[in-house]
Amino acid sequence: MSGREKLPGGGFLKNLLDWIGIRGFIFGPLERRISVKGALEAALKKPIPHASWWSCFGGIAFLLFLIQAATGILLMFYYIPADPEAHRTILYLAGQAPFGWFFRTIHHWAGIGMMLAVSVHVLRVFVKGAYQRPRDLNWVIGSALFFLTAGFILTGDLLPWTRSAYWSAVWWTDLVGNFPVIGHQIMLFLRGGENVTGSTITRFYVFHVFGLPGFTVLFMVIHFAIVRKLGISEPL
Amino acid sequence: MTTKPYKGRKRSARRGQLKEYPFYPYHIIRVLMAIMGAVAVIAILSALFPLPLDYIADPLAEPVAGTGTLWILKPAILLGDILFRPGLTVVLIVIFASLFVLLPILDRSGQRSIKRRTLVAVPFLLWMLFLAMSLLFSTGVGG
Repeated sequence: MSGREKLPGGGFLKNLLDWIGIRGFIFGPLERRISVKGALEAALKKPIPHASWWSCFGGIAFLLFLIQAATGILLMFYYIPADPEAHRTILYLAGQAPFGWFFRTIHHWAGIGMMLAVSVHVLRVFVKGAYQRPRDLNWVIGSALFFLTAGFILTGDLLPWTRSAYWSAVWWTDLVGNFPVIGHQIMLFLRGGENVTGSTITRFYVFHVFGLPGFTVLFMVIHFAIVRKLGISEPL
Repeated sequence: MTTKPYKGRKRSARRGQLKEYPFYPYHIIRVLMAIMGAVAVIAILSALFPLPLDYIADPLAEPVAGTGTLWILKPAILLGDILFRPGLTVVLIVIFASLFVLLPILDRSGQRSIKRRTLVAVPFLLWMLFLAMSLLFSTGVGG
């Protein structure tokens, strides 16, 4: 392999250090096998237009999604999606679990922050006219991500099984039920019956933890791949 | 007598001429700084405003005034209050959402300047203003 020829072989100690250290591992054993250095350099040195601070909101939304995933997994260790265990476990999380209140609050504020960051990102793309060809498909995928983010908030709100969360869920699922022809069927699917009950918590939990994140990750991968291929839109 | 050129001005003039730059380190550093700012805001908000927990839901109890108003629902609630008909409200929301998704098909002008896209820009920005105002004038951010 050409990578093996370029890099000096070194002794046993150097090989050991290469396997232990991150930089040594990337530019040592990994480079010799899959030639990561060239690909990394091509990705990092790729020229992009001189963008403003407003172009950072997509990255912020992505980071907040990662924070949501991390704190969400921590909350899942304690949470039980059933009536009345849902409220009891959140009560335990907020009062007794170590740093439970902190992770729950971060999960809440990062969710609002993510919605805000996605909204600013959408507004910037609109104002800059960056939704037009050839980035039209990316606008469609991005707007799907916008609605998925809203879906996270709507489904996550019911999970603590509080009074306000209950009436919120009743209100918006009722609204969906008023949609002509298929509205009632969608409402039954969302609620798991005619009323908002314990089975609604289970359904919303499944949407919140498996369905929505799955679609979000899929759309994010496509969104980033298109951005990578077409590049950031040039300033006006 | 010669005068030294003002360095700051020279640098900013050079930056104005710079059309593009490498992804690393310039853009990465800028995004990382913005991300660190966002994380700091989230951490401060979380430390200063721990989330209160409401009473357990009771489907048999009377709805309490002011509940059922999750912040993200405020625009829909306001639209419902204006139209008085839930069926029409949800149909309008679906129409607005569809127009939002299909924006690149509706606007094929190829014009990027917002001044030359007034037919699309005015309804879009008015709708965004409606969403922002309904959130700002609601009773606060729900938990």
